[in-house]
Amino acid sequence: MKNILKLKTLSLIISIAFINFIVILNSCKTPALIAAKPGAQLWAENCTRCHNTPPPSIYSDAQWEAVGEHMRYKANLTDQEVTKVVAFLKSAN
Amino acid sequence: MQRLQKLSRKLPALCLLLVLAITGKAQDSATVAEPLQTVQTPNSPNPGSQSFLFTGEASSLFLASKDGNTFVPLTLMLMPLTRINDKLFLETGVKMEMQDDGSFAFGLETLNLHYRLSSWLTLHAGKFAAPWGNVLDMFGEGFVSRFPIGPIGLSDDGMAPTDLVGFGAQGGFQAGNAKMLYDLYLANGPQLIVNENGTEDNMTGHMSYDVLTDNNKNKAFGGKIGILPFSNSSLQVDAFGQYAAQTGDAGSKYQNISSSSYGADFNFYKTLDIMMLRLMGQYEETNTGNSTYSVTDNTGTSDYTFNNKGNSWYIAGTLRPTGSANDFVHDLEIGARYAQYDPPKNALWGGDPSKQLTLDLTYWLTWSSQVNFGYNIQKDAGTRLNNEFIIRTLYKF
Repeated sequence: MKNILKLKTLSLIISIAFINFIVILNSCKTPALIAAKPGAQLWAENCTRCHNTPPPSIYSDAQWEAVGEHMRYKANLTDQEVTKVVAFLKSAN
Repeated sequence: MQRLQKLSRKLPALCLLLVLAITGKAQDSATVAEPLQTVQTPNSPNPGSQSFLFTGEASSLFLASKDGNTFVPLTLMLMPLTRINDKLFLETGVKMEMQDDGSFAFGLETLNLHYRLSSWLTLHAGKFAAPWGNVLDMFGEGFVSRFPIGPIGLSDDGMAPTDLVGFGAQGGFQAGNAKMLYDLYLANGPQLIVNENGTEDNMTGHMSYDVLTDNNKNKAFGGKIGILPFSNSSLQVDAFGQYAAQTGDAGSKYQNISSSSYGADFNFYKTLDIMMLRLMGQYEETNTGNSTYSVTDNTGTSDYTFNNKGNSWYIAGTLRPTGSANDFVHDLEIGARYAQYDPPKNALWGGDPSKQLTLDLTYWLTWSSQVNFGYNIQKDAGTRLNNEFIIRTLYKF
């Protein structure tokens, strides 16, 4: 009985949190300040969250695409961040 | 009745509208597909859409204490990353650890296929690291960790999920100036360890978190929800949890023992004129259903039970003089970390809290390769204070 209650509470919390995400997702537009950020700035800000910034020259264009996709999932980057950062790295390598 | 008659009169018109809508859609598809057909001639070169990167890291460890000193065998982690197309991505991790006889033991750490459904939703399935605290998740790879050894109770030695086999959904999206992220999963879940033979090294009541096969029909569900409240992504705060209603072997008297774990973490960095400061921390707690276990040793068989709750936490900070004009000083980073692991007091594997203070000096050879000089002071339950000097070399390729 106690386990079922725990299960229900956890399910409820996760469901409410997920619904909130969807509401936020659909109600918030990306502010102009964020949308205007160039790839170089996003590269510096997001890589530094966990590690030193890698120099663009170490990988080829195709390799940066694989890295960008990896970081989308590893660091939960937004679609816009991945697109801009990979475009910057490909232009600068 | 009249309403039904009216509706039946309108039905042919509605059907016509539906057919027109479908054919209209089909027409749209055909107009999009047409240019593709003209481009894909047999002799046209196909540049391909698959991207591949063979990456990984190699590390070695030297430990020196009062009891002696030793080189810990080499560890090699191979991580091929394959972007199959715009939507599919395969993440792989194979760990190779050198054994005493010089041979290598292989272990599949990660095999995780991602399918991106939309800009904010990706489904994934396979074997993956639990999105569980920044020790395993964000700082899980050696080149990111900054310390030569992990915090006590928060790696493989702790009471919380480490590896998972199952599937999940994850994503990140902008929410005003802030960013939000989530990673939810359904997995085989933890397995209760029951060993009735002897009290020495007996882990009865502990969970096994890295098993690949399932021991019952129940699944564990859990996940992480995070927020980066500042527009420059300098702070991340996550909350995470997991619940498994059954953890014992199917059909055994321990089948219905549940396990619930939850916790929170944070990571903050600030770049100042002369240096970069980083602060990070994590707390996690696991509650396992209580039970009475039988244990047989030299004195006979006896029952024992205990309050099966434990927690672990750490807090750490690092400083790197990024503003220094001197190249050598610029590539240094100092760090300090305090960690504590509080297992169930009366468990055969429990006792008083273990405490650990780790000091570190890192020299960055490249952006990702490093040499760490660490000093570790650790007090485990029932043992004397153990001081260790550690050197780790790590090369990322």
